[in-house]
Amino acid sequence: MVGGTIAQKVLASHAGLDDAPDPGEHVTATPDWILCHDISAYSGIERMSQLGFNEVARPEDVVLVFDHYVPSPNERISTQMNEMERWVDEQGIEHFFDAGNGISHNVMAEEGYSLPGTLVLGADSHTVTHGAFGAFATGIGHTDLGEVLGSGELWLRVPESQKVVVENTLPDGVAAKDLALAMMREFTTKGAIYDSVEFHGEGVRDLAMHERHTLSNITVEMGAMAGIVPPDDTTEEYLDGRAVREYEPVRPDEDAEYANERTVDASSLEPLVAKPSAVDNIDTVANCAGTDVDHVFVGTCNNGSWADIRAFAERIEDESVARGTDLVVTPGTKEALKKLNASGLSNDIVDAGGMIGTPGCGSCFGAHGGILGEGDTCVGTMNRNFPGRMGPGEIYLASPETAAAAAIHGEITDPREVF
Amino acid sequence: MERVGPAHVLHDDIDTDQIIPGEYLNTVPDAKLGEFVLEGYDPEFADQVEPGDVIVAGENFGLGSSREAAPIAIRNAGVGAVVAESFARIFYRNAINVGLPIVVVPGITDHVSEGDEIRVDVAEGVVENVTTGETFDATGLPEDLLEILEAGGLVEYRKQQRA
Repeated sequence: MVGGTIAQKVLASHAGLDDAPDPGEHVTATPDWILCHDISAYSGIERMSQLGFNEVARPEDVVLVFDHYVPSPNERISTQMNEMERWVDEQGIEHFFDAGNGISHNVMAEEGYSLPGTLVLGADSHTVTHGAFGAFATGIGHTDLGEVLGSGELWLRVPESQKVVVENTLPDGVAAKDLALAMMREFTTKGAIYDSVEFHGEGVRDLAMHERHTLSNITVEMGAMAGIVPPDDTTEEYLDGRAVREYEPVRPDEDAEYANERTVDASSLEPLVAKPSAVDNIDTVANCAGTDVDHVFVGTCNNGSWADIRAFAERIEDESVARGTDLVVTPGTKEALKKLNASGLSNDIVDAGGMIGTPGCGSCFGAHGGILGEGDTCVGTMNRNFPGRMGPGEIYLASPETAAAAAIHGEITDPREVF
Repeated sequence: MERVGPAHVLHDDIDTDQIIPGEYLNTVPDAKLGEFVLEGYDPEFADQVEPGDVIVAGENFGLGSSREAAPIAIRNAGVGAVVAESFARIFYRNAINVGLPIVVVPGITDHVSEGDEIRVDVAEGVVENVTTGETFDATGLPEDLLEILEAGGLVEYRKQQRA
Protein backbone atom coordinates (compact mmCIF):
# COMPACT_ATOMS: atom_id res chain seq x y z
CA MET A 1 0.00 0.00 0.00
CA VAL A 2 1.27 3.44 -0.90
CA GLY A 3 1.60 5.74 2.08
CA GLY A 4 -0.03 9.09 2.50
CA THR A 5 0.77 12.73 2.97
CA ILE A 6 -0.58 14.45 6.08
CA ALA A 7 -3.51 15.72 4.01
CA GLN A 8 -4.42 12.24 2.75
CA LYS A 9 -4.06 10.64 6.18
CA VAL A 10 -6.12 13.21 8.05
CA LEU A 11 -8.86 13.08 5.42
CA ALA A 12 -8.82 9.27 5.51
CA SER A 13 -9.21 9.15 9.28
CA HIS A 14 -12.09 11.65 9.19
CA ALA A 15 -13.88 9.91 6.33
CA GLY A 16 -13.74 6.46 7.94
CA LEU A 17 -11.26 5.10 5.40
CA ASP A 18 -8.50 2.60 6.17
CA ASP A 19 -6.35 3.61 3.22
CA ALA A 20 -5.24 7.03 2.10
CA PRO A 21 -7.58 8.25 -0.66
CA ASP A 22 -6.05 9.34 -3.96
CA PRO A 23 -5.76 13.01 -4.91
CA GLY A 24 -8.86 14.04 -6.85
CA GLU A 25 -11.17 11.63 -5.03
CA HIS A 26 -14.17 13.07 -3.23
CA VAL A 27 -14.59 11.96 0.37
CA THR A 28 -17.28 12.78 2.90
CA ALA A 29 -15.54 13.85 6.06
CA THR A 30 -16.56 14.69 9.62
CA PRO A 31 -14.57 17.64 11.01
CA ASP A 32 -13.33 18.00 14.57
CA TRP A 33 -14.09 21.70 14.54
CA ILE A 34 -16.47 23.81 12.50
CA LEU A 35 -15.24 27.39 12.75
CA CYS A 36 -17.30 30.44 11.88
CA HIS A 37 -17.32 34.16 12.59
CA ASP A 38 -19.77 37.03 12.62
CA ILE A 39 -19.93 37.38 8.83
CA SER A 40 -20.04 33.72 7.91
CA ALA A 41 -22.21 32.49 10.78
CA TYR A 42 -24.95 34.98 10.00
CA SER A 43 -25.27 33.68 6.44
CA GLY A 44 -24.46 30.09 7.43
CA ILE A 45 -27.33 29.93 9.92
CA GLU A 46 -29.74 31.09 7.22
CA ARG A 47 -28.37 28.50 4.77
CA MET A 48 -28.64 25.73 7.38
CA SER A 49 -32.33 26.41 7.68
CA GLN A 50 -32.80 26.72 3.88
CA LEU A 51 -31.06 23.36 3.47
CA GLY A 52 -33.70 21.84 5.72
CA PHE A 53 -31.83 21.49 9.00
CA ASN A 54 -33.40 22.67 12.25
CA GLU A 55 -30.53 21.88 14.56
CA VAL A 56 -26.77 21.87 14.57
CA ALA A 57 -25.65 18.26 14.33
CA ARG A 58 -22.80 18.53 16.85
CA PRO A 59 -22.91 21.84 18.75
CA GLU A 60 -19.92 20.75 20.87
CA ASP A 61 -17.69 20.97 17.78
CA VAL A 62 -18.74 24.45 16.67
CA VAL A 63 -16.47 27.41 17.40
CA LEU A 64 -17.98 30.86 16.78
CA VAL A 65 -15.88 33.99 17.18
CA PHE A 66 -17.11 37.56 16.63
CA ASP A 67 -14.12 39.18 15.00
CA HIS A 68 -14.85 41.01 11.76
CA TYR A 69 -17.26 43.69 13.01
CA VAL A 70 -16.03 44.50 16.51
CA PRO A 71 -17.04 46.76 18.07
CA SER A 72 -20.16 46.81 15.93
CA PRO A 73 -19.98 49.66 13.41
CA ASN A 74 -23.73 50.10 12.94
CA GLU A 75 -27.25 49.12 13.96
CA ARG A 76 -27.67 46.51 11.23
CA ILE A 77 -24.60 44.56 12.37
CA SER A 78 -25.60 44.90 16.05
CA THR A 79 -28.99 43.38 15.27
CA GLN A 80 -27.31 40.49 13.42
CA MET A 81 -25.00 39.89 16.38
CA ASN A 82 -28.00 39.80 18.72
CA GLU A 83 -29.65 37.21 16.48
CA MET A 84 -26.47 35.11 16.44
CA GLU A 85 -26.18 35.27 20.22
CA ARG A 86 -29.73 33.96 20.55
CA TRP A 87 -28.90 31.16 18.10
CA VAL A 88 -25.79 30.21 20.09
CA ASP A 89 -27.95 29.83 23.20
CA GLU A 90 -30.71 27.92 21.40
CA GLN A 91 -28.27 25.49 19.82
CA GLY A 92 -26.22 24.97 22.98
CA ILE A 93 -22.94 26.14 21.43
CA GLU A 94 -20.39 26.48 24.20
CA HIS A 95 -17.31 27.49 22.24
CA PHE A 96 -18.55 31.03 21.64
CA PHE A 97 -16.16 33.99 21.80
CA ASP A 98 -18.00 37.28 21.68
CA ALA A 99 -16.74 40.70 20.61
CA GLY A 100 -13.38 41.63 22.07
CA ASN A 101 -11.88 38.14 22.33
CA GLY A 102 -9.91 38.54 19.14
CA ILE A 103 -9.44 37.03 15.69
CA SER A 104 -10.87 33.53 15.28
CA HIS A 105 -7.63 31.88 14.14
CA ASN A 106 -5.53 33.53 16.82
CA VAL A 107 -8.09 32.71 19.53
CA MET A 108 -8.20 29.06 18.46
CA ALA A 109 -4.42 28.82 18.45
CA GLU A 110 -4.00 30.52 21.80
CA GLU A 111 -6.83 28.65 23.52
CA GLY A 112 -5.58 25.23 22.46
CA TYR A 113 -8.20 24.36 19.81
CA SER A 114 -5.67 24.06 16.97
CA LEU A 115 -4.48 20.47 17.28
CA PRO A 116 -2.38 18.00 15.27
CA GLY A 117 -4.20 15.41 13.21
CA THR A 118 -7.53 17.20 13.39
CA LEU A 119 -9.79 18.32 10.56
CA VAL A 120 -10.89 21.94 10.81
CA LEU A 121 -13.49 23.31 8.39
CA GLY A 122 -13.80 27.04 8.80
CA ALA A 123 -15.98 29.57 7.02
CA ASP A 124 -13.03 31.89 6.58
CA SER A 125 -10.36 31.53 3.93
CA HIS A 126 -7.54 31.87 6.46
CA THR A 127 -8.62 28.69 8.23
CA VAL A 128 -5.49 27.19 6.64
CA THR A 129 -3.66 28.81 9.58
CA HIS A 130 -4.33 25.81 11.82
CA GLY A 131 -2.06 23.75 9.59
CA ALA A 132 0.75 25.32 11.64
CA PHE A 133 -0.31 22.96 14.42
CA GLY A 134 -0.45 19.89 12.19
CA ALA A 135 -4.18 20.09 11.44
CA PHE A 136 -5.76 19.72 8.02
CA ALA A 137 -7.62 23.01 8.02
CA THR A 138 -9.39 24.60 5.10
CA GLY A 139 -11.81 27.38 4.27
CA ILE A 140 -15.39 26.88 3.14
CA GLY A 141 -18.23 29.18 2.07
CA HIS A 142 -21.57 29.93 3.67
CA THR A 143 -23.69 27.23 2.04
CA ASP A 144 -21.02 24.67 2.92
CA LEU A 145 -21.09 26.03 6.45
CA GLY A 146 -24.86 25.56 6.60
CA GLU A 147 -24.44 22.02 5.27
CA VAL A 148 -21.73 21.00 7.74
CA LEU A 149 -23.50 22.64 10.68
CA GLY A 150 -26.69 20.77 9.87
CA SER A 151 -25.38 17.41 8.69
CA GLY A 152 -22.09 17.29 10.58
CA GLU A 153 -20.17 16.34 7.44
CA LEU A 154 -19.05 17.72 4.09
CA TRP A 155 -17.69 16.39 0.81
CA LEU A 156 -14.07 17.34 0.17
CA ARG A 157 -11.81 16.78 -2.79
CA VAL A 158 -8.57 15.13 -1.72
CA PRO A 159 -5.74 17.47 -2.71
CA GLU A 160 -2.40 16.79 -4.28
CA SER A 161 0.40 17.66 -1.86
CA GLN A 162 3.43 19.78 -2.59
CA LYS A 163 6.48 19.40 -0.37
CA VAL A 164 8.63 22.36 0.54
CA VAL A 165 11.95 21.81 2.27
CA VAL A 166 13.32 24.90 3.98
CA GLU A 167 17.04 24.35 4.42
CA ASN A 168 19.10 26.16 7.07
CA THR A 169 17.64 28.83 9.35
CA LEU A 170 16.65 32.47 9.03
CA PRO A 171 19.45 35.00 9.57
CA ASP A 172 19.19 37.68 12.26
CA GLY A 173 16.86 40.50 11.28
CA VAL A 174 14.82 38.29 8.96
CA ALA A 175 11.36 37.32 10.20
CA ALA A 176 8.97 34.43 9.61
CA LYS A 177 6.89 36.88 7.55
CA ASP A 178 9.85 37.28 5.23
CA LEU A 179 9.94 33.49 4.83
CA ALA A 180 6.18 33.53 4.14
CA LEU A 181 6.68 36.20 1.46
CA ALA A 182 9.58 34.21 0.02
CA MET A 183 7.12 31.29 -0.29
CA MET A 184 4.74 33.58 -2.17
CA ARG A 185 7.56 34.49 -4.54
CA GLU A 186 8.28 30.78 -5.00
CA PHE A 187 4.69 29.66 -5.55
CA THR A 188 2.90 32.82 -6.83
CA THR A 189 -0.85 33.22 -6.28
CA LYS A 190 -1.53 30.29 -8.63
CA GLY A 191 1.16 27.84 -7.59
CA ALA A 192 -0.85 25.67 -5.25
CA ILE A 193 -4.50 25.95 -6.35
CA TYR A 194 -6.40 23.14 -4.60
CA ASP A 195 -3.17 21.60 -3.27
CA SER A 196 -1.96 20.96 0.24
CA VAL A 197 1.49 22.38 0.96
CA GLU A 198 3.60 20.45 3.48
CA PHE A 199 6.50 22.30 5.10
CA HIS A 200 9.64 20.41 6.02
CA GLY A 201 13.27 21.09 6.85
CA GLU A 202 15.42 22.70 9.51
CA GLY A 203 14.19 26.19 8.62
CA VAL A 204 10.62 25.20 9.54
CA ARG A 205 11.48 23.05 12.58
CA ASP A 206 13.41 26.03 13.92
CA LEU A 207 10.31 28.27 13.86
CA ALA A 208 8.29 29.01 17.02
CA MET A 209 4.57 28.26 16.85
CA HIS A 210 3.57 31.89 16.19
CA GLU A 211 6.06 31.93 13.31
CA ARG A 212 4.60 28.73 11.83
CA HIS A 213 1.19 30.39 12.21
CA THR A 214 2.38 33.23 9.93
CA LEU A 215 3.68 30.71 7.39
CA SER A 216 0.60 28.47 7.21
CA ASN A 217 -1.70 31.49 7.16
CA ILE A 218 -0.22 32.76 3.87
CA THR A 219 -0.76 29.48 2.01
CA VAL A 220 -4.32 30.31 0.97
CA GLU A 221 -2.81 33.21 -0.97
CA MET A 222 -1.01 30.57 -3.07
CA GLY A 223 -4.39 29.00 -3.73
CA ALA A 224 -3.71 26.15 -1.31
CA MET A 225 -6.42 24.07 0.32
CA ALA A 226 -4.13 23.56 3.34
CA GLY A 227 -0.64 24.52 4.50
CA ILE A 228 0.64 22.00 7.00
CA VAL A 229 3.66 21.86 9.31
CA PRO A 230 4.28 18.32 10.60
CA PRO A 231 3.88 18.33 14.38
CA ASP A 232 7.10 17.99 16.39
CA ASP A 233 8.48 18.69 19.88
CA THR A 234 7.85 22.43 19.49
CA THR A 235 4.19 21.67 18.77
CA GLU A 236 3.92 19.30 21.72
CA GLU A 237 5.52 21.79 24.10
CA TYR A 238 3.18 24.53 22.95
CA LEU A 239 0.12 22.34 23.45
CA ASP A 240 1.17 20.93 26.80
CA GLY A 241 -1.39 22.22 29.29
CA ARG A 242 -3.16 24.16 26.54
CA ALA A 243 -4.85 21.55 24.32
CA VAL A 244 -8.60 21.50 24.96
CA ARG A 245 -8.90 17.93 23.69
CA GLU A 246 -6.82 14.84 23.25
CA TYR A 247 -5.34 14.48 19.80
CA GLU A 248 -3.42 12.03 17.65
CA PRO A 249 -0.50 13.62 15.76
CA VAL A 250 -0.32 12.66 12.08
CA ARG A 251 2.93 12.67 10.16
CA PRO A 252 3.49 11.80 6.51
CA ASP A 253 4.46 8.25 5.59
CA GLU A 254 7.98 7.63 4.32
CA ASP A 255 6.63 6.66 0.91
CA ALA A 256 4.08 9.46 0.64
CA GLU A 257 3.76 10.79 -2.89
CA TYR A 258 4.11 14.49 -3.60
CA ALA A 259 3.16 16.34 -6.77
CA ASN A 260 6.51 18.08 -6.55
CA GLU A 261 9.22 19.16 -4.13
CA ARG A 262 10.82 22.58 -3.76
CA THR A 263 13.80 23.68 -1.72
CA VAL A 264 14.23 27.11 -0.17
CA ASP A 265 17.45 28.24 1.54
CA ALA A 266 16.35 30.26 4.59
CA SER A 267 19.86 31.54 5.21
CA SER A 268 19.81 33.46 1.91
CA LEU A 269 16.66 35.46 2.72
CA GLU A 270 16.41 39.15 3.54
CA PRO A 271 13.50 41.41 4.59
CA LEU A 272 10.82 41.35 1.88
CA VAL A 273 7.58 43.11 1.01
CA ALA A 274 4.67 42.25 -1.25
CA LYS A 275 4.18 45.41 -3.28
CA PRO A 276 0.78 46.69 -4.45
CA SER A 277 -1.46 45.05 -5.40
CA ALA A 278 -0.76 41.32 -5.47
CA VAL A 279 0.48 39.05 -2.70
CA ASP A 280 3.10 37.56 -5.03
CA ASN A 281 4.48 40.94 -6.16
CA ILE A 282 7.55 40.38 -3.99
CA ASP A 283 10.53 42.67 -3.71
CA THR A 284 13.20 43.31 -1.12
CA VAL A 285 12.64 46.00 1.49
CA ALA A 286 15.99 47.43 0.41
CA ASN A 287 14.74 47.95 -3.15
CA CYS A 288 11.63 49.77 -1.89
CA ALA A 289 13.46 51.94 0.66
CA GLY A 290 12.39 55.56 0.58
CA THR A 291 8.75 54.92 -0.46
CA ASP A 292 6.50 57.32 1.51
CA VAL A 293 4.23 55.61 4.04
CA ASP A 294 0.95 57.24 5.20
CA HIS A 295 -0.38 54.40 7.30
CA VAL A 296 1.15 51.54 9.27
CA PHE A 297 -1.09 48.69 10.39
CA VAL A 298 0.11 45.93 12.73
CA GLY A 299 -2.05 42.95 13.59
CA THR A 300 -4.35 40.53 11.70
CA CYS A 301 -4.48 36.73 11.59
CA ASN A 302 -1.08 36.75 9.90
CA ASN A 303 1.02 38.71 12.41
CA GLY A 304 -1.28 39.41 15.36
CA SER A 305 0.15 37.13 18.04
CA TRP A 306 1.55 38.52 21.28
CA ALA A 307 5.08 37.75 20.06
CA ASP A 308 4.42 39.64 16.80
CA ILE A 309 2.94 42.66 18.55
CA ARG A 310 5.80 42.66 21.04
CA ALA A 311 8.38 42.48 18.24
CA PHE A 312 6.82 45.62 16.81
CA ALA A 313 6.19 47.45 20.07
CA GLU A 314 9.68 46.94 21.46
CA ARG A 315 11.04 48.65 18.38
CA ILE A 316 8.68 51.64 18.64
CA GLU A 317 9.48 52.12 22.35
CA ASP A 318 11.09 55.55 22.98
CA GLU A 319 10.58 56.44 19.33
CA SER A 320 8.02 58.63 17.55
CA VAL A 321 5.79 57.80 14.63
CA ALA A 322 6.75 60.01 11.71
CA ARG A 323 4.64 63.13 11.13
CA GLY A 324 2.01 62.41 8.49
CA THR A 325 1.99 58.67 9.19
CA ASP A 326 -0.88 57.00 11.07
CA LEU A 327 -0.17 53.93 13.16
CA VAL A 328 -2.86 51.42 14.10
CA VAL A 329 -1.87 48.41 16.23
CA THR A 330 -4.51 45.72 16.71
CA PRO A 331 -3.53 42.79 18.91
CA GLY A 332 -4.85 39.47 17.61
CA THR A 333 -6.42 38.43 20.90
CA LYS A 334 -7.59 39.75 24.23
CA GLU A 335 -4.65 37.98 25.87
CA ALA A 336 -2.20 39.72 23.55
CA LEU A 337 -3.80 43.07 24.44
CA LYS A 338 -3.58 42.33 28.16
CA LYS A 339 0.09 41.42 27.84
CA LEU A 340 0.69 44.59 25.84
CA ASN A 341 -0.89 46.55 28.69
CA ALA A 342 0.87 44.65 31.47
CA SER A 343 4.26 45.11 29.82
CA GLY A 344 3.72 48.85 29.47
CA LEU A 345 4.24 48.59 25.73
CA SER A 346 0.72 49.84 24.98
CA ASN A 347 1.68 53.15 26.58
CA ASP A 348 4.82 53.21 24.48
CA ILE A 349 2.75 52.77 21.31
CA VAL A 350 0.38 55.58 22.33
CA ASP A 351 3.24 57.84 23.42
CA ALA A 352 4.93 57.26 20.08
CA GLY A 353 1.76 58.54 18.40
CA GLY A 354 0.03 55.26 17.61
CA MET A 355 -3.53 53.99 18.15
CA ILE A 356 -4.54 50.64 19.60
CA GLY A 357 -7.52 48.86 18.07
CA THR A 358 -9.94 46.31 19.49
CA PRO A 359 -8.70 42.73 18.97
CA GLY A 360 -10.33 41.61 15.74
CA CYS A 361 -10.07 41.84 12.00
CA GLY A 362 -10.30 45.63 12.17
CA SER A 363 -9.53 47.41 8.96
CA CYS A 364 -7.85 44.44 7.25
CA PHE A 365 -10.95 43.50 5.29
CA GLY A 366 -11.91 47.06 4.52
CA ALA A 367 -15.12 47.57 6.44
CA HIS A 368 -14.19 49.85 9.34
CA GLY A 369 -11.50 51.07 11.72
CA GLY A 370 -8.69 52.55 9.63
CA ILE A 371 -9.62 52.70 5.97
CA LEU A 372 -7.12 54.11 3.46
CA GLY A 373 -7.88 57.19 1.39
CA GLU A 374 -7.14 57.80 -2.27
CA GLY A 375 -3.38 57.94 -2.76
CA ASP A 376 -2.55 56.56 0.69
CA THR A 377 0.26 54.04 1.04
CA CYS A 378 0.06 51.49 3.85
CA VAL A 379 2.68 49.15 5.24
CA GLY A 380 0.78 46.38 6.97
CA THR A 381 1.50 43.03 8.55
CA MET A 382 -1.57 41.42 6.99
CA ASN A 383 -1.75 38.83 4.22
CA ARG A 384 -3.67 40.63 1.47
CA ASN A 385 -2.95 43.76 -0.56
CA PHE A 386 -5.69 43.27 -3.16
CA PRO A 387 -6.78 46.41 -5.01
CA GLY A 388 -9.24 48.32 -2.84
CA ARG A 389 -8.96 45.87 0.05
CA MET A 390 -8.67 48.61 2.73
CA GLY A 391 -10.10 51.39 0.62
CA PRO A 392 -8.56 53.03 -2.42
CA GLY A 393 -4.99 53.26 -1.06
CA GLU A 394 -2.15 50.84 -1.80
CA ILE A 395 -0.75 48.21 0.57
CA TYR A 396 2.74 46.80 1.10
CA LEU A 397 2.77 43.57 3.11
CA ALA A 398 5.66 43.29 5.56
CA SER A 399 6.91 41.90 8.87
CA PRO A 400 6.28 43.64 12.22
CA GLU A 401 9.94 44.67 12.23
CA THR A 402 9.69 46.29 8.79
CA ALA A 403 6.43 47.95 9.89
CA ALA A 404 8.21 49.44 12.93
CA ALA A 405 10.98 50.89 10.78
CA ALA A 406 8.38 52.36 8.39
CA ALA A 407 6.35 53.89 11.24
CA ILE A 408 9.39 55.64 12.71
CA HIS A 409 10.76 56.93 9.42
CA GLY A 410 7.54 57.53 7.48
CA GLU A 411 9.02 55.64 4.58
CA ILE A 412 9.91 52.06 3.78
CA THR A 413 13.15 51.33 5.60
CA ASP A 414 15.25 48.19 5.98
CA PRO A 415 14.79 47.15 9.61
CA ARG A 416 18.31 45.73 9.71
CA GLU A 417 19.66 49.26 9.29
CA VAL A 418 17.54 50.64 12.13
CA PHE A 419 17.42 48.01 14.83
CA MET B 1 -27.57 23.83 -19.37
CA GLU B 2 -26.65 26.26 -22.15
CA ARG B 3 -25.87 29.95 -21.84
CA VAL B 4 -25.25 32.34 -24.72
CA GLY B 5 -24.19 35.96 -24.42
CA PRO B 6 -21.56 38.57 -25.10
CA ALA B 7 -18.24 38.27 -23.29
CA HIS B 8 -16.67 40.50 -20.70
CA VAL B 9 -12.99 39.57 -20.71
CA LEU B 10 -11.12 39.87 -17.39
CA HIS B 11 -7.47 39.23 -16.59
CA ASP B 12 -5.84 36.77 -14.14
CA ASP B 13 -6.23 36.95 -10.37
CA ILE B 14 -9.59 38.73 -10.05
CA ASP B 15 -10.03 38.48 -6.28
CA THR B 16 -13.17 38.38 -4.16
CA ASP B 17 -12.54 41.91 -2.83
CA GLN B 18 -12.74 43.18 -6.39
CA ILE B 19 -15.87 41.10 -7.05
CA ILE B 20 -17.65 42.40 -3.95
CA PRO B 21 -15.78 44.75 -1.58
CA GLY B 22 -15.84 43.97 2.15
CA GLU B 23 -17.96 47.01 2.98
CA TYR B 24 -21.02 45.32 1.41
CA LEU B 25 -20.80 42.10 3.40
CA ASN B 26 -23.74 41.69 5.76
CA THR B 27 -24.71 45.30 5.10
CA VAL B 28 -26.48 44.78 1.76
CA PRO B 29 -29.19 42.13 1.17
CA ASP B 30 -28.21 39.33 -1.23
CA ALA B 31 -30.82 40.53 -3.72
CA LYS B 32 -28.98 43.85 -4.10
CA LEU B 33 -25.43 42.50 -4.31
CA GLY B 34 -25.57 42.44 -8.12
CA GLU B 35 -25.69 46.24 -8.13
CA PHE B 36 -22.12 46.31 -6.84
CA VAL B 37 -20.67 43.42 -8.81
CA LEU B 38 -16.97 43.80 -9.65
CA GLU B 39 -16.99 47.33 -8.24
CA GLY B 40 -13.43 46.87 -7.00
CA TYR B 41 -12.33 45.93 -10.52
CA ASP B 42 -14.29 48.55 -12.44
CA PRO B 43 -16.89 50.81 -10.76
CA GLU B 44 -18.81 50.97 -14.09
CA PHE B 45 -19.01 47.20 -14.55
CA ALA B 46 -22.37 46.76 -12.80
CA ASP B 47 -23.96 49.35 -15.10
CA GLN B 48 -22.53 47.73 -18.21
CA VAL B 49 -23.34 44.09 -17.50
CA GLU B 50 -26.61 42.78 -18.97
CA PRO B 51 -28.57 39.67 -18.06
CA GLY B 52 -27.15 36.71 -19.98
CA ASP B 53 -23.67 38.15 -20.42
CA VAL B 54 -20.75 35.77 -19.99
CA ILE B 55 -17.61 36.52 -17.98
CA VAL B 56 -14.43 35.14 -19.56
CA ALA B 57 -11.52 35.35 -17.15
CA GLY B 58 -7.90 34.35 -16.78
CA GLU B 59 -6.37 32.16 -14.11
CA ASN B 60 -7.32 31.92 -10.45
CA PHE B 61 -10.68 33.67 -10.73
CA GLY B 62 -12.16 34.39 -7.30
CA LEU B 63 -9.03 34.09 -5.20
CA GLY B 64 -9.14 35.38 -1.67
CA SER B 65 -12.00 35.43 0.77
CA SER B 66 -14.50 32.67 1.51
CA ARG B 67 -17.29 35.22 1.06
CA GLU B 68 -20.19 33.63 -0.79
CA ALA B 69 -21.38 37.13 -1.64
CA ALA B 70 -18.88 37.04 -4.53
CA PRO B 71 -20.58 34.40 -6.72
CA ILE B 72 -24.00 35.62 -5.52
CA ALA B 73 -23.19 39.14 -6.76
CA ILE B 74 -22.23 37.75 -10.18
CA ARG B 75 -25.30 35.52 -10.34
CA ASN B 76 -27.64 38.29 -9.21
CA ALA B 77 -26.21 40.69 -11.78
CA GLY B 78 -27.63 38.23 -14.31
CA VAL B 79 -24.34 36.85 -15.59
CA GLY B 80 -25.12 33.60 -17.38
CA ALA B 81 -21.83 31.82 -16.81
CA VAL B 82 -18.19 32.34 -15.93
CA VAL B 83 -15.56 30.71 -18.13
CA ALA B 84 -12.10 30.94 -16.58
CA GLU B 85 -8.68 29.46 -17.16
CA SER B 86 -8.80 28.32 -13.53
CA PHE B 87 -10.81 29.11 -10.40
CA ALA B 88 -9.76 29.58 -6.80
CA ARG B 89 -10.87 26.62 -4.69
CA ILE B 90 -13.38 28.22 -2.33
CA PHE B 91 -14.93 30.33 -5.10
CA TYR B 92 -15.38 27.18 -7.21
CA ARG B 93 -17.34 25.44 -4.45
CA ASN B 94 -19.33 28.56 -3.62
CA ALA B 95 -20.28 29.09 -7.27
CA ILE B 96 -21.74 25.59 -7.54
CA ASN B 97 -23.48 25.94 -4.18
CA VAL B 98 -25.21 29.17 -5.23
CA GLY B 99 -25.99 27.96 -8.76
CA LEU B 100 -23.60 30.11 -10.78
CA PRO B 101 -22.56 28.12 -13.89
CA ILE B 102 -18.77 27.88 -14.20
CA VAL B 103 -16.46 26.04 -16.55
CA VAL B 104 -12.70 25.82 -16.91
CA VAL B 105 -11.00 26.34 -20.28
CA PRO B 106 -7.21 26.74 -20.09
CA GLY B 107 -5.98 29.56 -22.32
CA ILE B 108 -9.48 30.86 -23.17
CA THR B 109 -8.61 34.57 -22.82
CA ASP B 110 -6.30 34.32 -25.84
CA HIS B 111 -9.28 33.34 -27.98
CA VAL B 112 -11.98 35.77 -26.88
CA SER B 113 -12.32 39.52 -27.42
CA GLU B 114 -14.57 41.84 -25.46
CA GLY B 115 -18.13 41.51 -26.78
CA ASP B 116 -17.65 38.23 -28.66
CA GLU B 117 -20.75 36.03 -28.52
CA ILE B 118 -19.99 33.06 -26.28
CA ARG B 119 -21.96 29.81 -25.97
CA VAL B 120 -21.37 27.78 -22.83
CA ASP B 121 -22.71 24.25 -22.42
CA VAL B 122 -21.86 23.28 -18.88
CA ALA B 123 -23.21 19.74 -19.05
CA GLU B 124 -21.45 18.92 -22.31
CA GLY B 125 -18.28 20.72 -21.27
CA VAL B 126 -18.12 22.83 -24.42
CA VAL B 127 -17.48 26.54 -24.93
CA GLU B 128 -17.91 28.12 -28.35
CA ASN B 129 -16.82 31.55 -29.47
CA VAL B 130 -19.76 32.05 -31.83
CA THR B 131 -18.19 35.22 -33.25
CA THR B 132 -14.98 33.48 -34.37
CA GLY B 133 -16.39 29.97 -34.77
CA GLU B 134 -13.78 28.42 -32.45
CA THR B 135 -14.86 25.73 -30.00
CA PHE B 136 -13.10 24.60 -26.85
CA ASP B 137 -13.31 21.56 -24.63
CA ALA B 138 -14.08 22.64 -21.10
CA THR B 139 -13.26 20.73 -17.96
CA GLY B 140 -16.77 19.64 -17.08
CA LEU B 141 -18.19 19.16 -13.63
CA PRO B 142 -18.46 15.72 -12.02
CA GLU B 143 -22.00 14.36 -12.23
CA ASP B 144 -22.82 15.01 -8.57
CA LEU B 145 -21.82 18.67 -8.78
CA LEU B 146 -23.57 19.13 -12.11
CA GLU B 147 -26.82 17.97 -10.51
CA ILE B 148 -26.45 20.62 -7.80
CA LEU B 149 -25.71 23.31 -10.37
CA GLU B 150 -28.60 22.31 -12.61
CA ALA B 151 -30.97 22.50 -9.65
CA GLY B 152 -29.85 26.09 -9.10
CA GLY B 153 -27.54 25.45 -6.16
CA LEU B 154 -27.41 23.28 -3.07
CA VAL B 155 -30.44 24.87 -1.37
CA GLU B 156 -32.65 24.31 -4.44
CA TYR B 157 -31.21 20.82 -4.91
CA ARG B 158 -32.24 19.89 -1.37
CA LYS B 159 -35.71 21.34 -1.88
CA GLN B 160 -36.13 19.15 -4.96
CA GLN B 161 -34.90 16.12 -3.02
CA ARG B 162 -37.41 16.78 -0.24
CA ALA B 163 -40.32 17.44 -2.63
